[in-house]
Amino acid sequence: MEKNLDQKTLKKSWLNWVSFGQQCYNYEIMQGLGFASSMIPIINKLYPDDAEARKAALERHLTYYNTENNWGAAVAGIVASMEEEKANGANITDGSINSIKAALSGPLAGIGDTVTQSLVKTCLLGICCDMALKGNALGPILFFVLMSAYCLGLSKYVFDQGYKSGKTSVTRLLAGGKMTAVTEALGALGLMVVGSMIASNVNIATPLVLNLGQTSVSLQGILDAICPKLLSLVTVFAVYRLVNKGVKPIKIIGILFVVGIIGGLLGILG
Amino acid sequence: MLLIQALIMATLAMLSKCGMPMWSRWSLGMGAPLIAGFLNGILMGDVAYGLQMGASIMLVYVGVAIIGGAISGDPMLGGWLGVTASMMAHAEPELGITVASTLGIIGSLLSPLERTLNSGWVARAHAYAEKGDTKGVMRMATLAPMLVAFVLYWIPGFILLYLGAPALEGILANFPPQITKALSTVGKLLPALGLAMLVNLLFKNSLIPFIIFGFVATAYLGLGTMPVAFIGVGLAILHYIYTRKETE
Repeated sequence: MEKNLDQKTLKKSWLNWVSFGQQCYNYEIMQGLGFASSMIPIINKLYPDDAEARKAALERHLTYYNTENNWGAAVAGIVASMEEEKANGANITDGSINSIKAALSGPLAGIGDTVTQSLVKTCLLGICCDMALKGNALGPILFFVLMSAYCLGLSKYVFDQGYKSGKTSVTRLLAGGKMTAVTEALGALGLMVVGSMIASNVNIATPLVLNLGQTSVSLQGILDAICPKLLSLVTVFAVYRLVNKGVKPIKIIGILFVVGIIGGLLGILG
Repeated sequence: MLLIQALIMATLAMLSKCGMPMWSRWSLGMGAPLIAGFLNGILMGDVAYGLQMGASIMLVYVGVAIIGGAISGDPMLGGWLGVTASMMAHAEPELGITVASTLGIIGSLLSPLERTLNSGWVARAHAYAEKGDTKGVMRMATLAPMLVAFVLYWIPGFILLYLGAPALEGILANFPPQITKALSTVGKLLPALGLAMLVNLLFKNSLIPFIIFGFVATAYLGLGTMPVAFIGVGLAILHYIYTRKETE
């Protein structure tokens, strides 16, 4: 008898991913346990009376996995369709399932990080924060509603697409030159927003005053005349160099902490 | 009232730190200060103060980025605990930024500890998988990590708010101004990390002009995020049209 995944099982699988995907985040297999949790409704449905097959399927998914929360749901959808074919006797090995997971998680994380973080989250927060600063209580409400709608709606959509068209659609999408151009265009938009935020959200100034005989000149005034927010720009690019060299964020936080304390105490930065 | 407020906020801090449910990490987690300010404002009957405090602290964390699991700052503890404690102490938003940044730094230090402790559940999940026990694996994926989060975030968070916040008012009143200034300088530097991580993610030599456009639009022309994003959409479409022709 052919085994079929019904809509209810698929919905449970998606819901498990968007709910528990990141919960047991750990250094050993990252989101591996979360991914396994999204496969559990499917494993239960496909192998209700076969403990050996359940064991093999669970072990197959308790492996390293790490991707972006929302766009990564596509992989869960694709793997769900592969599991279904496998249960019906198709020649799909553990290796081919794992290589699909590994091959897609990276590029999807790239697209997801660009769209979710540098575009959707940053823009929404920028706008809603502005509303709240002006005393508008709609700011926080709007942020919660729109951000959640994006996460739930997008992940459901890509999960369903992944299941329906299997691995072919996403691999075709990622392989074509079109996607590279789209991602780069999204990167252009992202960098533009980031450039704007360097000017609006990093507010580093210097309170230093230069005493020139009778008159004293504020150093920040001179800098502002050349380029406002110059110190913020310089700081972001100095930190960017560190990130690019592979220095761990936690270490950079430590460095910024020390620089801020010393700079603040000496009255160089403020 | 203090008890209820501390209970709610410690619980929200724990949930958003351990990503439960995952979809809420982006709203309740990344926007924690903004939403915490609003909710505390309602609980304390002063929404205007809550919005002011929440949004002021939020600005420090707008550019936070989580890339490949590495986070550039911690809006969750800075938000749920920092905003709540500052509001309980009736602090000015500027002092609130200092309180939140300090808690945020503690939060970024606790995350690696959480991930290390959670690795312990993986071995037990394998043991359940060995028996084909899907329920057991599910417990390791969902309930077990909650225990870690409860110990690491809920307990200290609740104690901090319930016992610490009343004391904080006195501490902040007598805080040496140099220390406040030094810590708020740290708060001003921290947003640079998230933005630098985003630059690192998106960077390509051919995209340098776009950073310049965005920076100039805001630094010199004073445009907000919204108009810059609109101009960005237009330029991104142009970029797509021209680069697409190249790759064909």
